Amino acid sequence: MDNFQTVVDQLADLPSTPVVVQKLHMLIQDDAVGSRDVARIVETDSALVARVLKLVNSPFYGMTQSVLSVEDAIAILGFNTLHQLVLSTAVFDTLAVDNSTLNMAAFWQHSFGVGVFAKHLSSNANKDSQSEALTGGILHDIGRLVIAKCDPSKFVTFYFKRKSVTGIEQEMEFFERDHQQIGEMLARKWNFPAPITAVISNHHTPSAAPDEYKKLVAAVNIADLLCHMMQVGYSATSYVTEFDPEAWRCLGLSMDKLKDRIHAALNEIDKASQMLESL
Amino acid sequence: MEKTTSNKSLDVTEYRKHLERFLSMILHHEEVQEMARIAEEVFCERNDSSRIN
Ligand SMILES: [Fe+2]
Ligand SMILES: [Fe+2]
Repeated sequence: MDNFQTVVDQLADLPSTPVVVQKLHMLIQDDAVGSRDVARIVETDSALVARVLKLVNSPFYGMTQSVLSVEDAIAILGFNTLHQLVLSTAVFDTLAVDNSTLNMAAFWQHSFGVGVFAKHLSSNANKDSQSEALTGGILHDIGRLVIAKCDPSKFVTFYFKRKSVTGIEQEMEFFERDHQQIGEMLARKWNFPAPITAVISNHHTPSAAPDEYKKLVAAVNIADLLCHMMQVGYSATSYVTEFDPEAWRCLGLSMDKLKDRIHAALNEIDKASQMLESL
Repeated sequence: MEKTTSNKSLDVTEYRKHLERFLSMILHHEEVQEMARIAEEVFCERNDSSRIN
């Protein structure tokens, strides 16, 4: 069976992380770094500047005055959010496929929706954890995008032409790896932050996540279930992750609170819809 | 865009059908039944408020 080998070969040919992402990654780990330094790195990529400014000026952030410089954008978004924004943008840019393989808009909506839900399910946590939940959610299914990019015809055969279930067990049979493992390979190749990699590798198997990331992975796992339940976007398959009572318990949420979180998440997704269209 | 961003534009009967299909695809858990009940409530509340606005 050479199904998986094709994907691996192609993965090796994927470009490495864009230089800006690499530099930013290094810089943000340094506590002494200031917004000037970060702005200078971002400003070397004019497409990225345009995107960051567009995002920060979108209704999503509700700014009353327009933000004109990257430095101001950083002051508003914070380093972490900026880093995660750059990472998500770079990943989706690099892995974009044409619509005959996968409806990218619907896939992005699913990804972004899971991110927003995961953030709201973690809203008792600090800002950094919320930001990780958002990015983890956005990138959780990236393995599927890697398959679509590397081997579009097998992707279409597996997800759209066969009439059988398209779960992770079936992916294992067909590709010899599931989309968690394929996503993890990309995450390692591109040096994703450890919590994000943990989400990608375990979002359908939250009990297998390392203890320190269990809560984060649980948030993305339940968010994924809720997005399928609420029909937010489309991730190439209607296959639903099995409910894991342990993941739900890990979130420490009551059903009463869940209702408010769902409302809040859907409102945020509505508010962001303009941004979704323009990204 | 083929799918709506959030689920506002569906009709409630269609949405109930979706929920039934969804529930038939996963193992039975009390919590999931409860989530589905909440999801339907949220769906209806959002529909009502978009009608008023
Ligand atoms: Fe997944
Ligand atoms: Fe998903």
